[in-house]
Amino acid sequence: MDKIFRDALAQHEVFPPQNGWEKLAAQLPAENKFIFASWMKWSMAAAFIGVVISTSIVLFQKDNSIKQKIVAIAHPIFHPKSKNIFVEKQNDVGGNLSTISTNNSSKISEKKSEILITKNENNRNRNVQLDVSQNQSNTLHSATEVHLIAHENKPQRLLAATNSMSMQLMTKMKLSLVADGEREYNRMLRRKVSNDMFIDELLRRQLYFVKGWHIGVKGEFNNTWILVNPPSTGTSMVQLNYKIDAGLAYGLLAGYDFNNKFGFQIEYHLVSQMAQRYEISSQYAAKNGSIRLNYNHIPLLFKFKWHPLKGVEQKPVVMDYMVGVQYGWLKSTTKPNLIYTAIPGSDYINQQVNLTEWDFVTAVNYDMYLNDRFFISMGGRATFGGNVKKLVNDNISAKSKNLTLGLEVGLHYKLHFGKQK
Amino acid sequence: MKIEHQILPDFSEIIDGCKKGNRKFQEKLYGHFASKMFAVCMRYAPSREDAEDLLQEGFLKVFNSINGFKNEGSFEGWIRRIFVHTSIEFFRKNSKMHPMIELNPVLPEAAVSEDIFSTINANELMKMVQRLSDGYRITFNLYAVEGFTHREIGEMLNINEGTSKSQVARARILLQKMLSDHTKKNFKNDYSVVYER
Repeated sequence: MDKIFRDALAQHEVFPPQNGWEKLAAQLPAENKFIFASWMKWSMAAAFIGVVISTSIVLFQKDNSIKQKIVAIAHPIFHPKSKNIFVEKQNDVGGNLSTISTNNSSKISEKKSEILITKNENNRNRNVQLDVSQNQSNTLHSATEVHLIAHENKPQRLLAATNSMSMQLMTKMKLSLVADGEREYNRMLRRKVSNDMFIDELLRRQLYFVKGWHIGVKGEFNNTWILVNPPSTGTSMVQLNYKIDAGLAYGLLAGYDFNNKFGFQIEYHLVSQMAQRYEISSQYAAKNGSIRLNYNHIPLLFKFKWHPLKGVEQKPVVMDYMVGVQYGWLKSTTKPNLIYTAIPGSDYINQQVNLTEWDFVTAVNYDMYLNDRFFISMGGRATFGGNVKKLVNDNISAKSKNLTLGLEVGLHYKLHFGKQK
Repeated sequence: MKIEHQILPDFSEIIDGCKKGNRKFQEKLYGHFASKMFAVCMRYAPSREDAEDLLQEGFLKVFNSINGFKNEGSFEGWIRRIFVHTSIEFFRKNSKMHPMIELNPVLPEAAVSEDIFSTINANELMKMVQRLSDGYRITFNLYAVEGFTHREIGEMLNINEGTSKSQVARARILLQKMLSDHTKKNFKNDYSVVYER
């Protein structure tokens, strides 16, 4: 008899209860592990390789010009507000050079080097240290011109011509303005800014603010207000109380600066979560819940840049004010109860959440330059959109707009800076 | 929700997905095994409501412990063991077993006509098993259907081996009586008689 029962029952099947999966899914822990699709891994690898290659190209590219190109400026020693460094008159712009020395002079033809110019002005020695890159076999001894390419809205060929055949023997460094740099120079004179400060300023603007591409990565923590209280029916006692929750977003970005004031930035968020915790309370009971919608987002932001000048000895900072829109598509959601199924495309979720969405985005970022290539951006971001059609939970039934507030940080790499004329 | 019954000869992808907590793969796993495991739960539980609770609890354990599955042996066997142990645990928590009364372990097994099994289906057999009291039902399931030995059953249920034997023997007698009644009532499936221990 045992065998009869075993044969009949061992592989027997009984149709499971309806909504069994939904009830089970509601009890499962939140789906919080992001699974990288293979194309994401490949695209990230490709992006990384792209960064390495572009960096290599920029760093090791050859410049066939015989002119030296000043690519960076080190730190002027004197405080910019020092009263001793005013330019007295244009003819004496350069002052008299008492000594000129170079570091690594023997290797000057091979790579960047530093020129330390010590200038006697008002009976005080002051140093201006420039980094000079030189190419080919030309040495500073034969240099005839030093160019600074500046600044503001259009690149300008500025100053600094040396008229000596040998830097070692050179006793004068004639700084002259050429072409459209004159206007700025005259302004500088009116402001009683020293020539060196002017150079510094132009360089700084050249290095950090001129047009060009930058790429980077960013991350964001945010909180989203998704649910709203149900419309008052006069009888409903259900109340929704918000609680802060942390959603995570991160991705890649690329930006282009048209000039030192305007630019745009486009981002691709590999992960962009909208998360909210809440408490539903009624006259009978209260229970906690949470919702988490996982999106991919592509924000496109137009940027206005403001860069307060804080003195040449400081690293520059830039305030970015950005507005734009973002497009997103839902990857998954882990909200139990509220949205039963975690698979976009299922009937239930189609009824509840838009699978694609448009949001309005605004952000303020504070850029801090680490050097002439890298800068960190930190700031806040707000998005407003309407991804949720209607959410139903017990007595809750309401249409909803979502508001997301977040803190973000990014690391950017400038693909090029300045423009050689 | 419609549960999809798919033929899935290779569970490796689903198992990997479940190990990562991917809801999509969890749902696939549920869809494939829910019917079989619900039948297991129905055999052990005293009521359908309890069986539904067991089904939930069992799958929760499966998903929570699936990282421990080493891809060795039958995956279905692994899941079935979880459900059987979940059922036993449930039984120990919620039921008063009757093992303390030592019955004569050598109860004679009455003859059952083989013909009756050609006229009775698995659902009816399962209903008969469900009619048994907790102790008889559990031990009979473990011994006759799952194939555990009396020693193993004794260890699982924390009873001695003789008790297991007597429970199974008693269950057989009761089942036989049910089958006999079933025959007499011309297969009308009226098991309103309460078969007490």
